[in-house]
Amino acid sequence: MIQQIKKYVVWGMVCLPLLSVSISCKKALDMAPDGRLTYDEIFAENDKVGAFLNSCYTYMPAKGVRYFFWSRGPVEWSDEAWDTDAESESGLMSGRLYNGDASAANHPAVNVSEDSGNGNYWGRYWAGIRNSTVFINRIDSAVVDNESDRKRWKAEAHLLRAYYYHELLKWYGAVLPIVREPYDFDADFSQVQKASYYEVTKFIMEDCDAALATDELPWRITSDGEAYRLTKAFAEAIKSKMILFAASPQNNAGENRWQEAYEVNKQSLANLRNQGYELYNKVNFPQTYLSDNAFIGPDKNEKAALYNEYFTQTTQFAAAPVDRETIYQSRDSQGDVWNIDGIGAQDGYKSGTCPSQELVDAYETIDGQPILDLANPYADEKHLQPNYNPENTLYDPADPYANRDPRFYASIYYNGSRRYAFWNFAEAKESVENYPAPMGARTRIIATWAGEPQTGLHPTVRKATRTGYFQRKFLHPNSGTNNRVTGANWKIFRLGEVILNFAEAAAEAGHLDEAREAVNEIRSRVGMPELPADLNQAQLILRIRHERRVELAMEENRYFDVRRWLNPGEDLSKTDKWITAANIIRNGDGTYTYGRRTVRDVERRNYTSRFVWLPIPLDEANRLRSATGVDWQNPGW
Amino acid sequence: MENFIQMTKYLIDTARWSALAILVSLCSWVYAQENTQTVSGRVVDELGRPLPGIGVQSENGKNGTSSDWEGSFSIDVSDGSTYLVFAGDDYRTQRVVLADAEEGMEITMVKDNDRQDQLVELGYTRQLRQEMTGAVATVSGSVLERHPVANLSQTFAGRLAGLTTQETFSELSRANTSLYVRGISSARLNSPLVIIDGIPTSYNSSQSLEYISANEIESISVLKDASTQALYGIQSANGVIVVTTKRGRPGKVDINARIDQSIQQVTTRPVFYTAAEYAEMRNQAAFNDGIENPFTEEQLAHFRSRDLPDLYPSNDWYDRFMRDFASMQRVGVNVTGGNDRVTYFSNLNFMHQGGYFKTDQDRYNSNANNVWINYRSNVDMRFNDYLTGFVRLSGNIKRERTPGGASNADVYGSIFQLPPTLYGPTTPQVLDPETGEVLDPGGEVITTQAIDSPTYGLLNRTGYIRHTVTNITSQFGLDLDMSFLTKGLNLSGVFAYQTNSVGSLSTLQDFERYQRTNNWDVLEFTKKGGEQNTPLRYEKGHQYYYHLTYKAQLDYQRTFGNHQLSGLGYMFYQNLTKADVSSPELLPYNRVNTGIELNYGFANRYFIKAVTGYSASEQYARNHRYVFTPAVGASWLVSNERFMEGSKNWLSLLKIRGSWGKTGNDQSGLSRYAYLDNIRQASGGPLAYLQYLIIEEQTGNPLIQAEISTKTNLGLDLGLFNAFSLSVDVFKERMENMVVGATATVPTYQGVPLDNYPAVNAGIFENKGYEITLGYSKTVNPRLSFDVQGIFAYTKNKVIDVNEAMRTEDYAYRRREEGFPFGQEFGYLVDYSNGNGFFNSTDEITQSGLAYGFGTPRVGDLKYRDLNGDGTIDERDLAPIGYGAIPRMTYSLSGGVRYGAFDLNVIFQGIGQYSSIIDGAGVWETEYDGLFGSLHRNAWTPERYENGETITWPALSTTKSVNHENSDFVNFDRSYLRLKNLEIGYTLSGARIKALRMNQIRFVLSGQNLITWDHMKTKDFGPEGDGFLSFPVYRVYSVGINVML
Repeated sequence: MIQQIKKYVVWGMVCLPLLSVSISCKKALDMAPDGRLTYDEIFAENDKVGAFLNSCYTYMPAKGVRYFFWSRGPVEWSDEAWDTDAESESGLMSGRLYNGDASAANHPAVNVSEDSGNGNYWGRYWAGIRNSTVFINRIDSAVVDNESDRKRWKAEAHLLRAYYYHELLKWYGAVLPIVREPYDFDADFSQVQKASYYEVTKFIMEDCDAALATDELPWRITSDGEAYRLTKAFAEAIKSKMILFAASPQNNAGENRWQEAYEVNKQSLANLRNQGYELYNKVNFPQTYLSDNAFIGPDKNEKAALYNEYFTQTTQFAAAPVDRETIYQSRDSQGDVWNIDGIGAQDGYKSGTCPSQELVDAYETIDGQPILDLANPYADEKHLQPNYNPENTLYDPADPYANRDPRFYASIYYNGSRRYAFWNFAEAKESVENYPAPMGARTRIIATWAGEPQTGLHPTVRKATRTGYFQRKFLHPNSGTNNRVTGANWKIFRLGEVILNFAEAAAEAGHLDEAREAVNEIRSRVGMPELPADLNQAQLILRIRHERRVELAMEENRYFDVRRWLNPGEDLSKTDKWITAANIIRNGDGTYTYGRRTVRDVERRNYTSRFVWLPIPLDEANRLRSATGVDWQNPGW
Repeated sequence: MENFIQMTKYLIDTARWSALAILVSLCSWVYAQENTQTVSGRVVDELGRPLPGIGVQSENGKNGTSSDWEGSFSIDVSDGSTYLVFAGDDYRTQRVVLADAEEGMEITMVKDNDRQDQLVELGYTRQLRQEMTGAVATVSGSVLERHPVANLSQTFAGRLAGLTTQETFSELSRANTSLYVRGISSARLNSPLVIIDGIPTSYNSSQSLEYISANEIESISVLKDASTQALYGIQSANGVIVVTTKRGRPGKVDINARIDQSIQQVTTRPVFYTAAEYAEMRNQAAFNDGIENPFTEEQLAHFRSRDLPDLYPSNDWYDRFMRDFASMQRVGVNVTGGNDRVTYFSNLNFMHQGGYFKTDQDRYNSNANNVWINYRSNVDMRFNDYLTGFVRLSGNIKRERTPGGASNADVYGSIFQLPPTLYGPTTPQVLDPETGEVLDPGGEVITTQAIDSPTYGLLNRTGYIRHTVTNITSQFGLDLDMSFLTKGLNLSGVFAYQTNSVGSLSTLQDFERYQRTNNWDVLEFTKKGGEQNTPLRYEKGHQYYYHLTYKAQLDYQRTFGNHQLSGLGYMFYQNLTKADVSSPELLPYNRVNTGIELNYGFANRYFIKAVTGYSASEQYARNHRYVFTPAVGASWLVSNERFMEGSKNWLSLLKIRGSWGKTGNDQSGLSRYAYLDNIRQASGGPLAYLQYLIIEEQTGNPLIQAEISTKTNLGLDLGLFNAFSLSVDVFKERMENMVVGATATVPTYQGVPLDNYPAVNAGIFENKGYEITLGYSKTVNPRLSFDVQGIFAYTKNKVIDVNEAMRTEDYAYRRREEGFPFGQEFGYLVDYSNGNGFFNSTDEITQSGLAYGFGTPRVGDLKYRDLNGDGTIDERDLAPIGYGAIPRMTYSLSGGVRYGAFDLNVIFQGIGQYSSIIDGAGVWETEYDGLFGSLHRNAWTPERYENGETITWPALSTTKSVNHENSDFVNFDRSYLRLKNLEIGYTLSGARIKALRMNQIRFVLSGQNLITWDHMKTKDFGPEGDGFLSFPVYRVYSVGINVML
């Protein structure tokens, strides 16, 4: 009997686990709920709908000095500046671009890194477009507690989509399809077509107009609580820019669209002005920018100071803000600019953006005369022989930094300029201008002659200058390790740009007086004389393009401007092939001899025509090709 | 409710019926008890020598013993059996009818060269080799034991036909070997399923293998075809490795103790350049780049003349930091024995791996050091006539010491980063020349701009870490003989628990780095970076995972006259928990597998097998979760046919085998719960106003399911004269629902990031090959015998469809995966039309008219072939190079000779048709401060070219040049032939040894990886292992004593 019981027990021991396994099989393999959502759940609850909109915002790029690795990206890939990391970290974006080391499979501008949203534009913006599109398509039937929220959110989604499309169009050109409905997984991609530049522009403007037609969308964000939300002003800025781009020679496909560009811009500018947008026109922090330690120009020039103040202050969100010029600023901090993009020697790290001699040449003298012949600034390919403007009487090549546009002093540290900051080293004998001086907060003369051990021209050292100049436009006058003023949030759109967009479109469309008036507004803000009244259309266009180069210097416009001003198929050899530096020799008697040299012996190789547009990523181009039978790739890639 | 009542009824019925059956059977047991017959005798081989270790078992299996050292045995048969079975691995099984048994009888065992009576372990089952329809390679633990290495899988190379091994990481006692059964079955480098003592080890299986030492192993089987794999369902497609540890056997207690001492030496060592040579090469590189020379003529002169060795040192850092030999000691004891009630096998191993670095830190020891304790106890118990059980307990506790700042491997790699011109390793003491006062105590660690953590600092100034790796496995099983229901029926259940934990106790510190100034005339140093000399501090870390496994199995086996019938059904549930804390990886991983197998044999001539797995993992949606993996096999043992009787004397074996079936795989590189969307809400986001954010990750594919590989195998086994054997297998595998990304045809502009885009079951993959095993063994006379075995295996796979998008017409190769083997490398082809493949002059560059898409070629750079003829070398010109990710050919030749007391065993092992493009250190001279390997000694220079000297490398550079691209120039042929192991033994036995109360003493000399023949372009690193900066494969010399008590 005991044997029998034993056996039952054994049976049980064997069978029970078996039984329980077989019963629990199905359940055992199901996933325990872990908080996953479906789209239907998201659009069924107010907060989650908002959360989805928030996700649509995540694709906005940081721009500014947040290109990898703390570089200014397109600023340094144009003729505005040279990146010191091109030599010391040659595998990064600039180093590879200068060497022409780029392919559709691996293009340094997009493949090295997508930190801070600056890179992988193709994947990133299309994802943003899809999410915005999903939002736009679902918001009308979603659960939203408040009808005004619903409308405003929808308008914001339209604007996000417009912005992402505008970025794609800027970088890649007319190789984009227009997507109004989100794709399903089993979608048929074989019939998709690329839209023309103009069609995409119109689609972008359509989104902007949808936003502008929404009463609930404000013109300005007036409280920190709503910081970084999009506005109608943002819509106007995109329209203004994209119609200008679409009318430009590179993109107009032979159509004259200047009249339309003029009209759109005129309307946008008028709307912005009506809503209180105006140029930043006074020094609001004189204790900083007009102090003895600011050294913005040789003579505490108020115009130079206000210009520098504008770019080194983050815009406040207020009903009546000090800054009424900024239309939209990036939400990302710009970091310790003095340490990573200022004067490398100050902290011992890197200088980053070194403004080119070409940019310095662009600043007029204070009498309003260009220094070079604008139509043909250099006599030789390498930019070593300037074609001086015969009408300019103030410019002295032996004393090149005297009597210049106040914006020059606000934007560039040059040989002989001064900076009061914490200098993280004691002066050595070789720094004759500054020896002796201990480590610490003090005024230092920025000597950029070749051989100056701290701030002198050097071909490879990371903390030196490649060009004889340092960037100061975005550098707070006294920032340093003892005064950690981080860079102001990047101004993605500002009224000054819209005014210049309008001026260019007006001049091209033949409305010369309006064009001149607009440019003069920009010039008078910084105390520059008006343009001569007798310029013909061609001359005026040249001056407007030139003004744009100066006013918007290092604001990521030049890279795109020189491209759109080309005719299709042309290359960038005139502007981008050779970049020059100030070759300054310090003489025994303490004077300087100013010469010019190319930054390096070999040319920059990112000037060829294929560099006008970014390539569609290789895999994508192959997929598009095999799905549609049409080659989508940009020329040369 | 009704169900419940019915079930209860059923249970009661069953119980009643069972009780009756048990009662009846009990009677027969009692009856059997009363009839005990004692049989004793002696087992000898064909030459009349006593054979120890031959199992002697009763027909019904309940009584057993084994022959002792004199070949004697004595057995009490009480289970009603009618005959005795004598079995030994290499011998034909003998049956002796009890009625005929006489006292003192002698049983002569006949050597079975074809091993048809060998029981082959198949994981959940075992089968006589002669009944098998599938393809299985086996090796016994005693063979693997010959290799004096710490990690088990280092012993596999060349031992198992169809198993490809690649030693990819060679750190002593931590080596990794990648294993592939018949190559790969999908476009992925998946490892085979490892089943240890009947329990699948689903996670970290290669590590689990390494924890076992060869002397615990009875046998290893590699299951290669569908008919043997299918039972394991979705875990089986990558092949199955079955490890069976030793069991106790009835008989006298046997104690086997072994002690050995090994010294280990690198097989390759990167070249050393003197400081003068290094500086010259740096200058050459700078000259080629058109930049200023880093070393002046004057400095070069000092390096050459060594007149100022302090200021201009020439340091061989390898000598400074590495010992020539490392030592390893091992001690192991096996105890086995038992009786009809209990049998046991117990094992204890101890191993110590000594350090190979030279350290000089007197406050603590940071040198590499490993101590392993390894134990196993397998106890089988017979509770009564019907119920048996077992407890298997094994553990491996490993204490490792590594330097605090980096792993041993990284410390090793750091040595070669240091240029020979570097002063050091520490700053010198500075004395006042007049007073002798110490101005600067020195002793700070020196580094360079490019090197973050120099070797000296890592070794002596970063503290040390102690890892305690504990791997414990326990199994408890019960086995019920259900012959009371029907004869041959058996029910067994196993519960197994396997846990692995790694505890790390770190004792860490940091150190200041100093850099020498650019002034070579003085010894001046400046501090680099912000690191400080810090005191020691402690940190602790812990990782773990564990498997819980339940398995129940019903077996049936019976013979009716000429009809042999067997079958099984099983159910398996496994739960794996890992230490992960991120969702969804923190959830346990679950599997349910079931399977049924049926075998039928007729008259020992025809065998048929039908099997199916039915298995699931949580990876798939309910509707697609379970898959069937059916397979069939058949074999015809021609040599057992009556019409073959006449040829029995020479044709000992002729057998034809074939199998076809499906196997599955669920390791498809999918993220967890691939069928579900992963959309979550999180707080935060760009707009504070909106408070929350939606995070979209994986998009689910509800249709995703396990991959199915269909496998066909044809085999032929041939035995001649009971001496020569040949086994040939030809196979083909095809997977038609391989999991591949859908994204190749989905454009990015649809907006779902392609990383989140679901994978689909749409790929096609094919794998083909064959294996040939040849053997010959001969006993010449009682003193001399020998055997040889040759194995050759070939496998070639092809990616047929992975959803690849075609490239445009201007590509020389419009596809990079489809139509090629998995892992096909692409690179530029060097244009050798001018004789040497370099641009030897500027004219040549101009004439070529070539533009490079990745830089501008200089004189002395590689000239690539413009395959598409567009004048530009870019990715459009890439061409396939090499054979894919794994070797195609593996082969070995092994053999043994026994002469008197001496024996010698040897194995040569090799691989063929395997190459890799290798870059980085040792190949690219631009690494760190310029890192030169042997290749760079004869780099292109105008002089060398003019003089017609050998040129082994393009013009040197200081930064990336056009040469630093994937090309056939840097494709290394990694095929090799290696004298893998040589063992010489001398065995003492007989009376004199007996007097010492021992049965046998064996002295062993053995060596591992003794000689390698290869075609590498450089001798700086070998064909196996992981390149220049990694530990090379080690050569081992060992001396040992083996004592049997």
